[in-house]
Amino acid sequence: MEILLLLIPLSALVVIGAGVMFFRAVDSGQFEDLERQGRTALFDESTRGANNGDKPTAFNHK
Amino acid sequence: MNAHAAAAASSHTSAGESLQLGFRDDPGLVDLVTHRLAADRYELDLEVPDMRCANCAGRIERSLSTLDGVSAVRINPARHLVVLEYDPLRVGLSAVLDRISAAGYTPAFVARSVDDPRLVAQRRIQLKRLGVAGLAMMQVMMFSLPLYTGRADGITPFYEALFRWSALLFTTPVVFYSARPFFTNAFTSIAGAFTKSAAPGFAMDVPVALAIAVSYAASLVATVSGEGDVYFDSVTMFTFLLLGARFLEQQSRHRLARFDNWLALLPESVTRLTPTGVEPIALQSIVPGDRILVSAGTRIPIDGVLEEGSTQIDESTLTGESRLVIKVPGARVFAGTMNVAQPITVNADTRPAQTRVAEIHRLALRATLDKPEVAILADWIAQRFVAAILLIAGLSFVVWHAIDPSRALPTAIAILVVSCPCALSLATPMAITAAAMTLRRCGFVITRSHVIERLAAITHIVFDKTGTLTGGKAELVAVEALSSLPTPQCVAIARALESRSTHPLADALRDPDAPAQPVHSVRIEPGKGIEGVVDGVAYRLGNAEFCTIARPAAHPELSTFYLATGGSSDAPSSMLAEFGVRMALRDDVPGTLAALKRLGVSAEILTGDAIEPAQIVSRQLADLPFTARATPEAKLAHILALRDRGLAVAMVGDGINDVPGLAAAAVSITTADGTDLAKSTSDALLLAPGIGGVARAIDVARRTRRIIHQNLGWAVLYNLVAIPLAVAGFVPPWVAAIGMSVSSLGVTLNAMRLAVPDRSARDRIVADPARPDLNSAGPIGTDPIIEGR
Repeated sequence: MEILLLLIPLSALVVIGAGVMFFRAVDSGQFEDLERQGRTALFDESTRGANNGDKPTAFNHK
Repeated sequence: MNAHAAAAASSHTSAGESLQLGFRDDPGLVDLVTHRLAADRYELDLEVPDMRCANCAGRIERSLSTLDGVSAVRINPARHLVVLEYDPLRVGLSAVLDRISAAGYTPAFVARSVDDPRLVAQRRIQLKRLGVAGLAMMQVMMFSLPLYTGRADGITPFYEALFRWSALLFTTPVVFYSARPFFTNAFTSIAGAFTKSAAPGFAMDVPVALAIAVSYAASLVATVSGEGDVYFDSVTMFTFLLLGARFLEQQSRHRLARFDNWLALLPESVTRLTPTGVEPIALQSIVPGDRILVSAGTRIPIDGVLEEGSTQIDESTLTGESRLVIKVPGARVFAGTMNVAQPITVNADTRPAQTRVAEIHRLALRATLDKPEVAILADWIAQRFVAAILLIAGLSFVVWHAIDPSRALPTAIAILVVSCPCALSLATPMAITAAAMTLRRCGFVITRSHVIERLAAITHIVFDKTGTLTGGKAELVAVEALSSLPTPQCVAIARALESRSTHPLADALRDPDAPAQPVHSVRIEPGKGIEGVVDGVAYRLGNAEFCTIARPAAHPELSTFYLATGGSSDAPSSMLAEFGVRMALRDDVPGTLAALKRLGVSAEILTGDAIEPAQIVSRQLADLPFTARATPEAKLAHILALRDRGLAVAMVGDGINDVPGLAAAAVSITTADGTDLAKSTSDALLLAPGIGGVARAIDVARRTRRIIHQNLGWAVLYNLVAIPLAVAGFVPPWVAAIGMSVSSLGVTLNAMRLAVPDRSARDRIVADPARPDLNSAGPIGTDPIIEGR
């Protein structure tokens, strides 16, 4: 049972590592939109792709 | 400060930040974030993200309503929204914001989009808190298991201490990091209750924070002293489940808001054409007369006239109509619609705050803020509930302490955890919000909160004929000259008179190639006709009675109206011409009436038009009962008579000459085309052409009523069962944690069922051979509508 004295601190380190990775993933925006990636395959990119939050890109028209 | 800075302040800045920048009482900002109702009454929308429950809402409501100059406060806790009517001359914007801050909350101007950095940051920190709680929970469970089994099988004191200390190690970040929002909320609430007599009542988070703090402290003491029970597993699980439930609830709310907030669809900056080239400007600084360039694949930012370029436009956000509309120069385009095909130039004719989409948004927002009666009752119960729970938990602790001291603490904790006022106070607002979103997507906008409750009970619908059952576009089929004046002249005079009218009959005369002559001294008599002076001569144009004409119509199968000389004062009048107009039925009328019949709702026609045209329409619709030649007064009397017969009556009209009747009906629904939305007093608007939305709305309303009853029933039943069990000591704290989360999540998910597009219901209501496009897969490629000249 003495092995627990090693395994518990070890598991603590692993969990802290997992926590750090999770924080990084959140900060990089990985969980912001879990639906869009799945949807993009279903729509034609050229006409309906960029529906949300689109900025005018038309400075070169005229 | 320029308009650009004000725009930035309104979109992304919380009120606190704007204070630092000195924006708060700037007239430009006031103009952007408020809506003028009258000279001394302005409407202001505020978002208060940390207002989470009915109690917080009540506190804010009380603290604002005592402010001099604030005439009305309406609050929607489910969407964190506060809308108040105030007089800017008597109270400043900053005083309002200060009041909310003093009550312990953070006000912000309504967020423009889900991509708002403030919301993103909030979402991320919630996710981190949830993640920490989840990871720690798994570890603590692992350490708790040997503690439970050890109690039965025997465990050496050394290993028991090891597991307890390990569990303590992992529980500590959960309590101090993950659970922090509960403590802050509870602290503000308690501090507020003791210092400000104006805002009594405890927030929902008080029992939650108490449960976490007490169980953690007791466990900590037990671990250090080596005596007593530890509840680390319950603490972590409770925190994780509650955070998870709140996170999911918030996500679903954001999902709803994404459909809801059309203003968020608009681009932040737009391209304005100047004599020398183009320049980017902020959306809010568009003024009428600006020429705005809209590239293909972007949303049109402003209402205006299409000036250059022909394109296809997807107006589904505005009307729910999925067919693309082809627009050519001269056609009107609307903010929030999608320019699909070609780059275009739009000549703005409104300010950003007065666009059609902004008006609809405002009307719809009003609905979610008025409280339906059933929600008021639920709030009242929830407020007293928290105090009762604290009392019950305290009493149980004392009683159990006398019976069995070792069970006093776990029982008190279980009571605090298991009771769930959130389910009770969320039950109705969540369902109403979800239903309103669903209806909005099919072009039915609710502007009063009582509409859904009342719609569910509707048994009879009265339809106006012209413009409602029949299409907006009338067709001039016959013109009979009745004097020596030749036909073209008669048409020109009639066109001049009707240029001032929005009656659908006026459409038949409108001709873009022949501009109308100037007309003055116009007077409109609703349901009868119009009179005015053209070229120095007074004319009247209207039905036979209005023109004092007694001769049989030349075309009795058509809708006839007459042109005669003579205004109201000078008689006698002489007849000039008779016009025969035909109206085609709207495509979805037969399908909708059939759907209404299936729903058990009877219908009839009530029109100011002559008997013959009404008869024709009635015959086409399986002899639908009709009343013709009804003046606005007669319509009112008719609706009142129906009401006296015990029918719950809805009236569908074009909102122009039906106002008294609409006001008397339990639910008034107006078709939105041609109506001045800013003046709309009706309960609901049909944005899509046709009346298909009516049947769908009744169906959704009935489902909503069922779901509200289920939710309230569930919340009451759950508490009635769970609390006595917890008091009796049958519920360990960790079971309590699961129970309360499931109960409040269940209520939210049940309400969300309304927001899920129900394929079968949709097909049942709108399946209509005349409108195959409604059932087709996508908007592209189906026959488009063509507008413009």
